[in-house]
Amino acid sequence: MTEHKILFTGTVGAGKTTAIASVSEVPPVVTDVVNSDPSVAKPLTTVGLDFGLLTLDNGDRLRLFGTPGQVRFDFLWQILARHALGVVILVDNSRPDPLGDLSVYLDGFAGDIGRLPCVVGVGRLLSHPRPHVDAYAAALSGRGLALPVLDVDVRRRDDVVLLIDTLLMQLQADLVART
Amino acid sequence: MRYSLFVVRQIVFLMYRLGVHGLSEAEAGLVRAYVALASTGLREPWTFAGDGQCDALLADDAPEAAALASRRRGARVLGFVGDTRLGWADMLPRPLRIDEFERWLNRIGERLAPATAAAAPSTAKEVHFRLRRWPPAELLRSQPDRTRMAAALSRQALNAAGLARATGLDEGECGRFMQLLQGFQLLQAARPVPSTMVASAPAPVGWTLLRSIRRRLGLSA
Repeated sequence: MTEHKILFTGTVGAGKTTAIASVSEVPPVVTDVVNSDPSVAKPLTTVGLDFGLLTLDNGDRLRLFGTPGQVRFDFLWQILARHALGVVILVDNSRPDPLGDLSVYLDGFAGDIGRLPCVVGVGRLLSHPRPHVDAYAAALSGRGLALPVLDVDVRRRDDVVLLIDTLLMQLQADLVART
Repeated sequence: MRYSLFVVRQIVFLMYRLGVHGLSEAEAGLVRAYVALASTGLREPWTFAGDGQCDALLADDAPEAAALASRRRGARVLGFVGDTRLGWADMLPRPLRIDEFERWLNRIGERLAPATAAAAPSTAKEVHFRLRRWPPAELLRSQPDRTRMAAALSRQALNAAGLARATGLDEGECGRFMQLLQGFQLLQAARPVPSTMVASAPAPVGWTLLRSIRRRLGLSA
């Protein structure tokens, strides 16, 4: 039995725990405490790791890891990224500077992006349509990146599945390129 | 007289033609005037082609309709008038100003230059392409298959056959989507480079694993 993992990262409140819960076959193990940051309007925040689980038909397991959102835990990001199948970066478009938030995670995973499949999921676009999802593509292009950028609502299982599907497509492209 | 006509014909032949699509009559008229007024500041000679065959097309329309018009009129470069915050390549902001128009037209002219044209990739079967940037949302139109094809091309340089193998989609459909992306200058020709990630994974990441994950998520294999 082999364990594989996909990483979910992003700011506090971007929806990492919710995204994992949308697809996990078990309630995600959550390491939340009372949020002491008054600038973030949520009662609990993750200070360790969330993880969810999918058991595959050959017995292998796919772990869905959610990183802590605070930048002070960025030392964990590289550790978690090792041997991951891919990284999902979730962005909350209702925050004051969501493009700036994206930059933080692109910098934090700079050593892994390019090596690992990656997708950016932008949430809350319906209520906060600016910046437009195309602005994220432009920002990534400015860094020489062509990462997938999707408009998602992580409360919807289909949207989270599409994020994972996008990672799988990149892995499948890798396999075709090897032949 | 005959010599003068010969020279005139050669000059017209060397001029680039700018067409418009979807612009209002007033705006099309403004573009026509700008092409004439900007001529001294342009590196290449341009003429206004209106609704006819052209080398470059300036459009204000949905991306796919604009791409269709572009192909129908033989345009090699497609640009848009609109909101530059969208970050689309070759977007001209409103209101149209002659200085910005001149700079825009010079950029377009560079892409049409013979050396660039000769190097411009086609979507021939043997050529591999990779996305230079993620496509506009309107181009993907929330269609999962288009998102999948774009995701594969964001990662590796593929031809239509390779894209079909990667996505499980019909090769013809893959080729048509690549042509659409090409029309928006979203593809760059590149050599396929195998990802180092696959080699470094602790367990083989092969088709078996990926299909197993897809089945588990209820996705088509």
